Amino acid sequence: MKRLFKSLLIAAACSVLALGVVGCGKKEEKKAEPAANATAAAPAGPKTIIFAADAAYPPMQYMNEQKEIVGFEVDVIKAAAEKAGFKAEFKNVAWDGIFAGLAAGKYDAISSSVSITDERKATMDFSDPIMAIEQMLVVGKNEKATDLAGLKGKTIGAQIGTTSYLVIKDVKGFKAIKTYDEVGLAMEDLVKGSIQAVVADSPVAVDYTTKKHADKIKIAATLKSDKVENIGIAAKKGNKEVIDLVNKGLAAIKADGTFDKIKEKHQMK
Amino acid sequence: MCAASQTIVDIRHVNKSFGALKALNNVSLSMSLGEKVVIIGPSGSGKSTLLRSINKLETVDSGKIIVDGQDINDPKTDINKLRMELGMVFQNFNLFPHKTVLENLTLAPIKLKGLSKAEADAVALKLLDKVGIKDKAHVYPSRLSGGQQQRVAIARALAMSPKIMLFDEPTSALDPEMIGEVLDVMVTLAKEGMTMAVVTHEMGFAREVADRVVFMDHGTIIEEGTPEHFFTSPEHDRTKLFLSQIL
Amino acid sequence: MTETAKIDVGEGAAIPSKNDWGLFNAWVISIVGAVAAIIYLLVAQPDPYQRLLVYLSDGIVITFQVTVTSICCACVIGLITGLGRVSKNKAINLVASTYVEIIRGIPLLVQLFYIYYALGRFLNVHDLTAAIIAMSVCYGAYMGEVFRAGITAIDKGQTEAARSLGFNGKQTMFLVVLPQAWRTILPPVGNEFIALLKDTSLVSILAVSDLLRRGREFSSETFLYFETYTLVALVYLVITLILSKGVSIMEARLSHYVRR
Repeated sequence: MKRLFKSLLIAAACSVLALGVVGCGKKEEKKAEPAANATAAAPAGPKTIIFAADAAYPPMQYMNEQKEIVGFEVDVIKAAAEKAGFKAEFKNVAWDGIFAGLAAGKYDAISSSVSITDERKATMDFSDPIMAIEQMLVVGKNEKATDLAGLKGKTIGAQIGTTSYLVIKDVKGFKAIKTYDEVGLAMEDLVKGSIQAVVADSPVAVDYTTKKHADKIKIAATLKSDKVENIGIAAKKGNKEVIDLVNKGLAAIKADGTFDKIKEKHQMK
Repeated sequence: MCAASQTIVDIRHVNKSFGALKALNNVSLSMSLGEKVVIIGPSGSGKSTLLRSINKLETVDSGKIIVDGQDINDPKTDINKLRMELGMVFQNFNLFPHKTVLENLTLAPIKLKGLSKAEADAVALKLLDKVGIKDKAHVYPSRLSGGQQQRVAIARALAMSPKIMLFDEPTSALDPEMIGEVLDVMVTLAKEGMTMAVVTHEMGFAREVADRVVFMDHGTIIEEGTPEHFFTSPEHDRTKLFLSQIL
Repeated sequence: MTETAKIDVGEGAAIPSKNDWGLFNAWVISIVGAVAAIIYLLVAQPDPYQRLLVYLSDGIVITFQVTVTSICCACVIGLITGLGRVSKNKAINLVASTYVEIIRGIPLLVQLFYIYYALGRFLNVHDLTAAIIAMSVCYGAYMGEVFRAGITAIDKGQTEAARSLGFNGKQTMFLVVLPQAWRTILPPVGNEFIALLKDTSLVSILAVSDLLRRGREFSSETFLYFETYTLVALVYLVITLILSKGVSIMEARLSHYVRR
């Protein structure tokens, strides 16, 4: 009994120590960041901007096997950073809550195929548009429906908190509307037949229907909208410094053709 | 002894070990119908094991046990049916705490003998009257004293109208002032002619009701005989020593 | 002697009994506080909160559905597993023990993913069904251990008394052992119920539209994180408190034969 107690005590002490070390490490990191930010204006070095990305959104941003966040938008930001003279760091953050994290100051900006909407503009600032996207309806290979109306009585899905979800949210007549944490999980459910359709951003829809599940799912339609949907970089309301740097970089790479080269690399039209 | 009467329990050369401990060593014992056998001996002598092996609560390693003409270790024997003929009373009463006193008595007759509730109740109330606690029929066992609980336990065993009653130290867990009431019930039962095998330390009881007293030590029967023989002129030194310690 | 010892086992349990004024008060304070807070929010700020509650309502129903169905299934699985674990039959015992070892070794979240997405490739189960299966299979294993402990806690003398009256093993278990074991089993099982209810929030990862997912959908659209999760937490609290009260009432009913 006594020995057991003793060993428990030792174990507890060890874990406290370990926590302490980790905790200190974290604190130091955190201390270092604002210091870097504060001296950014000084010629000491380029400013570091931390971008949050939901890295489960191919081809825009996703994890490769080397556990690096890669993708079209990542390449765009990195190229823009080079031109505008800042350092871009990416952080993988789950989509659901990515805006809450920005508001709470956990990172400087969001680079995660964020569509620029009026609702979002009310709570955060956006860069100039990176590109325009559309909403696409993805269905199983044998599905005959070519629009939302043709899917009456069926189950449809989209990623939670996305403009894709907004498109179907108020449409009546579906058996159910399901929201997924990741768009990939929605595609997975579509492939195995749990749901009959998914609405997703055009680059993602194209990627899934031409690469991963090319033999099982297809694009049924592009959902027409009277408004152009642009994606951009989001920053905390009033963070002009970040928005200006990103805009500067974006303008530069669009002007000199780098942007088009990146598009080509990722096989985007 | 009673060569003419019918043998109801016949234990032949049984052995039983618990690990390295030899609990029963080549024990043979037989009982006739109506006979009252009291088994005595120091603790750990194997007397409880012997009693419990009669209704197969302990399974012997070798040897034969014939009860009412049936070999209890024969796979063809329906041990559950045979056990209905063997009433058992435990040191710790083992009443069912979730059942009232009456339900303790009627559970087995209703479920196993197919008696109607009314029939079973009538039998049970008669038995409770006999053991003197009819007024407690509808209370739960936890409200009874130890002596009362043990009397209920005896009545519960009797409710199945067994041919033989086995008592495993029925008074050892009782406060001294309650021992008498339980022994009184057992004496009454003996006088009615019930076949009884009793493991006990109550020498007064042995003297009063036993047809035969069996003394066990270290898993073997050392000596057996009438109470007169036993308490006046025991043959073996170990028997003498034990009696001198206990009396 | 054993009689009193047995009673103590049940008396020492953690779930509030009717004599336990401290916990009783804590329960009243919590439920009154939670309900009052919900009402206050709905009245004081009807704009997001009433809209929010309407949005959450079908999620509350789903959470309730998953909880109740899973509890029922988990109890059945738990009882079978518990009986298997105390079985003298080596094969049955081994199967039950292996099941418990495997399930206890895998996090519920992983089990949920596994049943829905990994096995989903071969057998296409509905999301709600998958959620209920995963919860039942997982909690069935935990409850199996509770049942086993409850059964083995019953004094061996009870079994011996029943067997010597002529009851067979099955009759002994169902007429004598289990009716008594319920008392010792119920408090820990009640804790499992509450844990299960709270763990149903995990099923939202299967895109089941339960209370939590409805909250997440609402907040990710409106950015009203504080308001949403405040109400979601309060609703969970109220459901949990009601469930725990139900368990303690059941426990009081079952202990009627114990001298107080």
